Amino acid sequence: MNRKDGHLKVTGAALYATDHQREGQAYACAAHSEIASGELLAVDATATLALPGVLTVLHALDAPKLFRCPESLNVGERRPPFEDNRIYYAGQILALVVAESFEVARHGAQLLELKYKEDEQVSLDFERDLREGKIEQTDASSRGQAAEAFDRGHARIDATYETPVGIHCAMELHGAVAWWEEERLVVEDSTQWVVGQSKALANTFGLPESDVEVRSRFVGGGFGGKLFLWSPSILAAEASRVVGRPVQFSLDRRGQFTSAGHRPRTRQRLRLAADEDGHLVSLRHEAVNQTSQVDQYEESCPDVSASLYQCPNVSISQGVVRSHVGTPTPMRGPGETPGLWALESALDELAVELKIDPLELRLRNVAQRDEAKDLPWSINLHERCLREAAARFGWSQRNPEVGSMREGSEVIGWGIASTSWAAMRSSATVTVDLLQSGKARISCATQDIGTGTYTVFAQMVKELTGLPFDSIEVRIGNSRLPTGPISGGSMVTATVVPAIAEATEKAIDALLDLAVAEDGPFAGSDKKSLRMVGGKLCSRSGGASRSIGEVLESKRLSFVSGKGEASPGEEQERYSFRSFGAHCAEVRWDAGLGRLRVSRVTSVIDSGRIINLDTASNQVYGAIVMGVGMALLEESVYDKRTGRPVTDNLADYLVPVMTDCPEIDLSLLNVPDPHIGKLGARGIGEVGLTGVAPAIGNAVYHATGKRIRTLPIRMEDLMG
Amino acid sequence: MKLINRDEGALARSPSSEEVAQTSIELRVNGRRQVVAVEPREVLLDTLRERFACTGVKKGCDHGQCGACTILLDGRRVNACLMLSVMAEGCDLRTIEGIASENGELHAMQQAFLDHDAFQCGYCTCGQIVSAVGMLNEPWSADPQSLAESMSGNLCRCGAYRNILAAVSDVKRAGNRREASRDEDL
Amino acid sequence: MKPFHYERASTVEEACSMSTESEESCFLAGGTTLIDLLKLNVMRPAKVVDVRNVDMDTVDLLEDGGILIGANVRNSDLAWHQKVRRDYQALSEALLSGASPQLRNMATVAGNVMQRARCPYFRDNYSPCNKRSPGSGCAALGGYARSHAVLGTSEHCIATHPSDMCVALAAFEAKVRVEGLAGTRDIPFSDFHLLPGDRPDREHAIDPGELITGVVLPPNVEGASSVYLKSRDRASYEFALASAAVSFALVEGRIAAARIALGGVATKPWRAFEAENCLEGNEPSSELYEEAAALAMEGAITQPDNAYKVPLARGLIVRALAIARERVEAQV
Repeated sequence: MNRKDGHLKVTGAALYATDHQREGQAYACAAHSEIASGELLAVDATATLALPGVLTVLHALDAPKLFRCPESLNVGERRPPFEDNRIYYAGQILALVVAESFEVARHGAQLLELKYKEDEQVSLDFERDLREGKIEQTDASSRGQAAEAFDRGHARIDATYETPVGIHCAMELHGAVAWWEEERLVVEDSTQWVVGQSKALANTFGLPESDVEVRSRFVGGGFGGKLFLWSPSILAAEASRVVGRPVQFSLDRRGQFTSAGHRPRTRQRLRLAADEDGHLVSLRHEAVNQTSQVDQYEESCPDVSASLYQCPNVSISQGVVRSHVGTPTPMRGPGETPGLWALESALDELAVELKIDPLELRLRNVAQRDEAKDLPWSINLHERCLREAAARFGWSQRNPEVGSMREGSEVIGWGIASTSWAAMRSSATVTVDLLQSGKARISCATQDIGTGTYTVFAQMVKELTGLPFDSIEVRIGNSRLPTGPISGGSMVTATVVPAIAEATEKAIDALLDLAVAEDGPFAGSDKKSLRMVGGKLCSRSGGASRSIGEVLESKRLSFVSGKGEASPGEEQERYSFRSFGAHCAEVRWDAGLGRLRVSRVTSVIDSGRIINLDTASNQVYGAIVMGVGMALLEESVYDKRTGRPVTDNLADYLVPVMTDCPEIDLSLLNVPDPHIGKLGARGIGEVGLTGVAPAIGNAVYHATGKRIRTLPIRMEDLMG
Repeated sequence: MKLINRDEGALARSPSSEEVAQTSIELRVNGRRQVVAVEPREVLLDTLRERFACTGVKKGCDHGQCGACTILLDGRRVNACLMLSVMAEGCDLRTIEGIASENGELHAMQQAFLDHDAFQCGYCTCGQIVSAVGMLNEPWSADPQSLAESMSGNLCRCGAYRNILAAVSDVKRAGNRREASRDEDL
Repeated sequence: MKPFHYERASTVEEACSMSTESEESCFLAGGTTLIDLLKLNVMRPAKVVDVRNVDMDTVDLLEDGGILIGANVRNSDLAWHQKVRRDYQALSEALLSGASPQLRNMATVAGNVMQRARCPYFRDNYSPCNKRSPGSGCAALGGYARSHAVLGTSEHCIATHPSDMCVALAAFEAKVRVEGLAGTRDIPFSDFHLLPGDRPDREHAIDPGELITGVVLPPNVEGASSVYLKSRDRASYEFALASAAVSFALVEGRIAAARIALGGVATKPWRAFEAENCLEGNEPSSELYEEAAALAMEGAITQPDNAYKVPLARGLIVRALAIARERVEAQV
């Protein structure tokens, strides 16, 4: 079965945000701050305004004021663009040029003369800020006596791990085409949350929610970067309001490195202690992340450490350091991804210290219940994942001695790490219509960011109605549809699937009512004696079947509808939900060539029932590739003197290419979660990624004997 | 050392857009003859998207670093973001919109991408497919390492590489088999 | 990107006179460097002279056994060219390791010879950069310099020359053929690219109004084999952090006609003459390779971020020499 949206995607017919063209459309280009801290004193737009084709220039000193969104609503940056003339980070958008063509807008933006007053005090040096203790504690929790237990431990690890700024680098830039229909705002957007985006835009422009329509039928990748409202959508709408025409605006690739969120830098100190048998007796995880001047974003790294393994004495804390950087935002597996880099690396160090196989150490510490929440697991197949991954990978063949496995000029290393992600659900409303044409239509204001939402939804309705896959229309990607969930946190499937089931059942039931009514084709029959097979109603005892169209025709109706609503229920109070898995990685290091590559990854993951094995596997393959990037390639560098991005493009911020893709062996256990809701599906987006980097780092140690605690691991770390 | 250096001097010497002659260019886009007047600075990617509605040609980086804008120029794959439109004068251009046959039957590469689920978000996909079609005309061998190298000019952030490679390999090997049997016939 | 005049030349003479009419002109061939930098507002010509119609897109065999590569020959065509693959293997390998298949289909030989620096402070258009804005300073010094040069640097510029192809051309002792209204001259490859010194903005020994029309490759030495090795973080589609092109022959068991050129570590395609001399006339051995490699990197000046390039380049040279030897022996 091919993807529902597959044909559109392979023919170029799938239209993404800025692919939409409106009659009379104008184009906008931004000018970004070259300084990291200060004030914008003046904008000289004389040369820009003199260019033929320039329509207007908007900037902080001359732009209508926009409103902030309430704290209860997540947005990318709380401060709307042009709110004041303060400059909080290099790359901040300070002006927008709107013109007849893209060429003129870009030229106009380059011609703007921005005059600044630069502040003396600038916070750009994370390391210095940490040394000077400029940390604001934001969160802490504990159980037992972690400090005392640490001192009594038989084996102890006290190490500090770091992760750099990561950039989502969705292939589609943040961009939008916006226009106004009377007082109503319509935006062709690129968002992981059409509902949130429309709420946020309504707040920003002071409109009733019903007057904003956000469309996002196709999203060219998000990875967290498009969860919340960022300035491009606002500025497209604002520019359109000013010039009275539709406006297309997109960040350029450089802008993505400053102005649309990132995974923040983290530093994490891990202290682990175990007894002689390798049971954890103390775990302390203290994390700090960089955040911006304007928002407090917490990358909750240590949360996972409190529940992944069994340990009586745990203390975790989180803090932030304010810097002159853009505001961070979730990036795939927020918290867990950098958090597990630290925890799973530290466990490997502990295994070495204890002289216990790192697989065995993890097996000995599998959590029997969620000790952080003090709840039983809904289901925990962590141990099975570890064992199966090790077996498939050939872990028993591993010679534990560092550098002992060689092939030609390469030294080979094998590493293992657990992977995990808290399984969440939110609320959704879905309608399913059965149509006179014999087709079905499913509607929900959620979106497909590439995860296969179109396909999984259609597949569900197909299973429940027997209608052919091609006869099911999926309508998503529009904020005016029945309210659906954000595409984030691996929640869409777990959230919406139960609602689809309910809506479909109700639609069928409504059809049955018509069928057994007086003038219906099954008049006089008992509803219970009928069922839907192959998209048609028939009697359980056999006999003629009637199509949806025939049943509706009897009442001259165009369709019948069923509505399903699903929300997390009281199961959330009774169980803790988490997906678990294990990654084994093989790396090859050729010291003479300075070449470090990941050659092989085996992953076994339990994320509940898998609705579509193809799309789920595809997501995990991709997550593993992203993990390779995180481990070996990706780092967004900012000049310490100026705060400007240095690796601000796709030739210098390296994301993996096809030759970096390892051989991947994946097994998804496909065991339904007994409590999370109908069908027991949990979601797969993040758990594929979270433990990949430490598995690779641990393999690097096994190959080279070098324990690299700061990502990415580069050749220079291993040389000499 | 001044930390900002924008070197405004050079700008003064530039011609204004009125002084620069618009150039009329003639080209074929997906088999159709097109005549269009462009400023010299207009980039082919923007012309294709904004004037010819070939929006399957994507802007991912605008600097030749991602491959999302890959098109076939006289049969060879190139990045449309690093060509001026005037450079396409007299050329035959093929974008994703012109890869399938006239009757709508998908190109084998498109079909293989579907069959192998070789994409997720789909944004890089058009460039990947056009690039892979261009690759078939180049002397790459069909072993996986060579094919991965041959496709390394197309980034996929979803990381669908495993399935893309499977799709590309299928088509490449089928092509090789066809060539082999043709050689035997001769 | 600001507006510019655009003209098409169909002969060398036309190209040269079109370009001399305007002080701020540049030639356009593949466009992969120029259009990139136009968009960044780093290059701001008043006029662009398109030379793609000038007839110089063939690879011609010369009487002495060498080849003349037309300036407009595409990188991919040159890489796959049979004679190049056979006699100048390092050149083919260098080309295929550079950029992406799409870019290689666009980029020309002359354009690649003229490739501009990849220094982020050169490209950002607002940092001090002596190459872009003479006299403004060098932001890379004291900045992020992981990819920067360790050889041939000055206190005014440490930008790396990014080309792979040029490294192989340096090793094969190519000559750059330039034609102008005053006539034709062949510039030895080692003299073509200039060290930054105190004028990093001057990059080539080419005069205004002169056009590169081709690259002459002398015949490779009888029995010689060559190899190009490149090191980078990503497995493909990345500029070299270090690279080495080596070539030599064995005469009665001793190294003859040794050539070593380095990329990714120097401000220009770098010939390691002392290292070559150290190899000449000696029997190949790993000790000898190490000695040559050490000589090649002698005098390197490193920054905090790029000191790793010295051992990296040494390792590449040693490995490249070992592979070249295997290839020489495989020929026999």
